[in-house]
Amino acid sequence: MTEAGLSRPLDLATAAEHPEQLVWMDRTEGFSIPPEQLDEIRLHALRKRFADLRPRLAPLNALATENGITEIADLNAAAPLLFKHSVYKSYPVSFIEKNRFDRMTQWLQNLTTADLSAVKTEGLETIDDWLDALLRDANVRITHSTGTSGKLSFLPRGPVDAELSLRTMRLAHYRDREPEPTGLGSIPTVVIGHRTMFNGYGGALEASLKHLYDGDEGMIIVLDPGRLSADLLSLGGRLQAASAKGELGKSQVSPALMARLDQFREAQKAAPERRAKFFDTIFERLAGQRVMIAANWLMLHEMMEIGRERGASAVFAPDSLVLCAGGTKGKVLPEGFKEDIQAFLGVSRINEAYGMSEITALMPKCSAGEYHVLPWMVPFLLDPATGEPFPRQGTHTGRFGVMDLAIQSRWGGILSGDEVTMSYEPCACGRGGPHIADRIRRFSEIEGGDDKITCAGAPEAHDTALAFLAEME
Amino acid sequence: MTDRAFNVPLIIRGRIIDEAEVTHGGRGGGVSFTAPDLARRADALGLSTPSSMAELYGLSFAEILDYLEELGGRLALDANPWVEEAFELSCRTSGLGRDILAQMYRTMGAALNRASLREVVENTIGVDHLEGWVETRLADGMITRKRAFGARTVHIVAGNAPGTSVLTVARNAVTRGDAIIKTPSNDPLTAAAVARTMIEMAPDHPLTRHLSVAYWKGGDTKVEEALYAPRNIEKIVAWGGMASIKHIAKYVQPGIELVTLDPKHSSTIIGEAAFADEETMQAVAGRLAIDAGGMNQEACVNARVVWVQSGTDSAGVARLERFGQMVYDAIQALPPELSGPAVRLDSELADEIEALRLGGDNWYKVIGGGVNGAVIVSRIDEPVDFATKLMNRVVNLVPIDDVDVPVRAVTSYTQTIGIYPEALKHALRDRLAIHGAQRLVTLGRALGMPNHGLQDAIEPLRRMCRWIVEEEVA
Repeated sequence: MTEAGLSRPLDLATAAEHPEQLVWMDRTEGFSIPPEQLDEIRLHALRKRFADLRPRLAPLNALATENGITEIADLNAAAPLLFKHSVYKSYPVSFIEKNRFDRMTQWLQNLTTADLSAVKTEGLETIDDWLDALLRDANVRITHSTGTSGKLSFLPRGPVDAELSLRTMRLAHYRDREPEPTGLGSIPTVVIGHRTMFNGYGGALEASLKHLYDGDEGMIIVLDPGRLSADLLSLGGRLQAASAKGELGKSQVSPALMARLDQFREAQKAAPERRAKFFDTIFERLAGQRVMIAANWLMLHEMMEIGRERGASAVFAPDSLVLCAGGTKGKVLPEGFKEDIQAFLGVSRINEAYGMSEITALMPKCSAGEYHVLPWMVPFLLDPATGEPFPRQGTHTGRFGVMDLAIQSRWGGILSGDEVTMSYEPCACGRGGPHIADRIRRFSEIEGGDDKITCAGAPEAHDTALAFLAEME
Repeated sequence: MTDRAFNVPLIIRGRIIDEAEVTHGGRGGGVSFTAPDLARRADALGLSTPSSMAELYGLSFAEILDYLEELGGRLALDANPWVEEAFELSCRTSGLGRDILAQMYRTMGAALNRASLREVVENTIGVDHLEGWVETRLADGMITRKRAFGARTVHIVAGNAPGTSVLTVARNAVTRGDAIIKTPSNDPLTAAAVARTMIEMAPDHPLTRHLSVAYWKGGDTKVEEALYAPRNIEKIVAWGGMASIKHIAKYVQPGIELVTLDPKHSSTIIGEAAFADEETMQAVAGRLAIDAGGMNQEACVNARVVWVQSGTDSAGVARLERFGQMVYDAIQALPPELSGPAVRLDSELADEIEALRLGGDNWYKVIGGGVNGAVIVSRIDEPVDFATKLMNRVVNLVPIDDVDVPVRAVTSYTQTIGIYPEALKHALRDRLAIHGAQRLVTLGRALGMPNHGLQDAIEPLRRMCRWIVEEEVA
């Protein structure tokens, strides 16, 4: 039997009509498509997606109408059609507190062509239950944001395509100038997190279980067998919204949420023991073995500190597949931490990548330290002052946006909150552009921290919620 | 635009230090300006010898008012180069448009009006308590004599309106205090312009020599640890800014009192009487437009969430939408010296509004948008989730059946509530106060600053004084 999720030969002539198939191309081949040819494919595919989705997605239609766009003349002409992140969290939070998951579904239906009419919401009392209902009744998997201070965004993906999820996960483990790694079905996945996650990684994990491991749960080694709860993650934002409404808000916090918190608190008591068991498994049973890990630097750094205390070093087989994305979450790690972590893990390479939960796959970092835009994605760079797109040549710094052409049931265009420097010049690694420099910042970080004082304002953070979340750490 | 260079002087008790030694600001496309290096001079800023304050007690209250009245006359935009310079820098740093700022700088001296200052002081401290020892006999026969003395105080002023700097100078003068004004990056020059005018007018006057003005970046520990010590100061009066108050709070210790005029939000309650007839609706919309759009909604007193007893059924919501359009039109029609298009559009808020608009009309209707501002009409009986971020002349009208709903939504961060009609204000005032509201005004009058001297449920002028008592056993 052939291994699941491997690349397939692709006739480029069909790619413009079916850009989602570009995901299946061998990565090295995909990156060697001449830029002019690729842009032709992209433009054709973008026009097709727009024509196909505009009549079916009301927000896209509204945005196109507002901007007077009836057809897309060139790639940059699609820049006004990028959704802001806020589109995926424009629901009133009170629907959740009032258990109006029917209205939440109605809101979500606006954003996807997947049919949500079969989703049963009667009796649902938590976000987690609603996410389960969407998956069970409509085969739509939500990717939600994981920030603990604000309102959660919900991105629908579906009908679920597990093979595509597995494929994009495999793509992230490619190594430059090497053939696609194989034999993944026989190497375990180490998850420094929860078994059940409705984030970008959670879907790939389910796909691995189904298609890579034939349902063998023993191949997935998790820190926490439980769930990364959307209810818990949204606690801060919900309590903050409630506290801004005084007594009125207090009476609106869902009793089911409070009950769920008690459950989490209870489950948390077993955390130290679970942790110890997880690290026993990693540093003893998996020592010297080839494994797969996807994490961020902070997680890997913590793992190294715990491992070092136990006297572990060069833990895994050198050809293990380690992927790191998402930076250090604002924390400053000691100099040389990347080299230290790589040596500790004992792997010959750590892949790095840049992406966001709105897109199908992560953009890999090359040997020259630049992130490369994948063939089925159209990158945009907007002047933060004017909102106008920069020309698609040369090097510019601005707000990054991307249109993911592999997404069919949702509008794949999204404007990020990231300041990015992107170049269309050839990269030092030998590939063409566009490529993104490894100095990505959040605009909110750049604009914050000034010294303006005004008398208008109200507290942003709710202390109780933050204290509770700290307790859960 | 080729921009002019601004240097923000350091003024220490009549002495001007004008060296351009360090550069501040310039983040995120902001304006940068130079200033003397305060870290090297922080020790000189505090007044460690309180004896010099004795000279303030040689002045009568009338003489203090004479001084302030003359100063007020000199703070004219068209005749005072320092005020002109402060205005020009504010045009680059403020959230207010040039027309509004011009009006404010033109009229800033009015805050030093003699009759008005006397009325405020009489209503808060009592002029006799400033002028001498006021005697009272207690029930047990003890004679007590009380007097209000000035304090050595750091004032951290807000930058959203230049008036706060002038007001602070006036408050310091009438209480005979020694003020150090820490200016904000969104208005670094106004307080210095006032101080320079004072130095030019009366260089050796005690009032001139008990005012210092400095810019340092809030949180600069080199400056703050040296300054915020009981040997240097007795009080800190802090206006607004969540981050600024949080980091000041850590310097509060025995010997230093913090008077906070916290960052606040204001709201509005409109009773069903507003829908009595078309004419009333229009008039109420016009008054709401002033509370919401005046000063470009940059102030804490501005209306943001507006609870309207329109009814929450479909007829009620339709009525509210019609009212919303009137409010939007009335905001657009405000005179340019009172209100104008957003100077800097908050991108986070703009994104939220765009998302509501694209989400269809199920739960919210957005009227307007962009730099002109917007009226968001909730079709459910809830404010938008981003209600605390409303600015740039964006108001959220929320339909209610029962005025009990907004009463219960009041928190201790609610400052002003504009109410229509008057009878409703009287009916709700006790309950609003208990929930946390601090100022209840006639709709359309939120921006006024009457001479009662109350703010944020405190009397800042009384709090700025040190209340000293002399006891005599009979």
